Amino acid sequence: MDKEALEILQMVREGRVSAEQGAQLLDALKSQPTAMAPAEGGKPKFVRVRVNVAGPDNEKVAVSLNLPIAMADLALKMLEKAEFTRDGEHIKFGDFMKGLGGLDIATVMQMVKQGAEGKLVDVDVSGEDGEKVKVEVIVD
Amino acid sequence: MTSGPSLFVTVVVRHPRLPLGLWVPFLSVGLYLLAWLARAALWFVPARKLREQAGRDMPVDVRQLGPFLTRMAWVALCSGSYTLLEADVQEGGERVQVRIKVW
Repeated sequence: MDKEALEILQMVREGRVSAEQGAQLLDALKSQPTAMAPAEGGKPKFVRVRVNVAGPDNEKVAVSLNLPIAMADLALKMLEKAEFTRDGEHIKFGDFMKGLGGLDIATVMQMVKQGAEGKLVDVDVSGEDGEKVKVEVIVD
Repeated sequence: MTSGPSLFVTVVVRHPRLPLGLWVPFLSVGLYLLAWLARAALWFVPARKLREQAGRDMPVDVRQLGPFLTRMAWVALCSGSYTLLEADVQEGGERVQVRIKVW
């Protein structure tokens, strides 16, 4: 069994992620063996977020945000602790994201820091008005 | 990317109305001080006013943003030389490009 899988099982055992989240991480590890391969020649340095929007009238928006790993890590740590109010209830952003996506972002970030690299997110969304949105998160 | 603290941050804007483009350099130290200034301003705004705003209009306590700003600025400016943001917007035959680079 490879190192990443053992780490995921360890996180499940320690209760840092639920069994369901652990299974999702293992699935992601199996389905994307090349995308999550450890970086050659050192740990990855950047998290690149690319957003491309193509509108129905030939409007185009392309944004590329390159965050150093330390910056992305800090942003996620602070976001996780941040609280917001909804319907009079104080909610931690980290708990909100866990409930929404079923996946602990901190766990993914930990894997990235340990050397995982490649395309982590690749989402294509088409709107009813013909708008196309592509979001990619690449670690290299 | 080279590691270590940066000296400058440049903002480059290309717009059809600016034939030569716009190139604006900032001192990294200045931006970091600006982040601290914003943090201090958020701290000294009357707490009651902030609570009222957070309770009524804003879902987030804006005081949380102060430490976030300064720490993010510190890490961003101590990560060497890299392009932080590239944006390219095309609409109605006009194209605007913005690039923020840390040197």
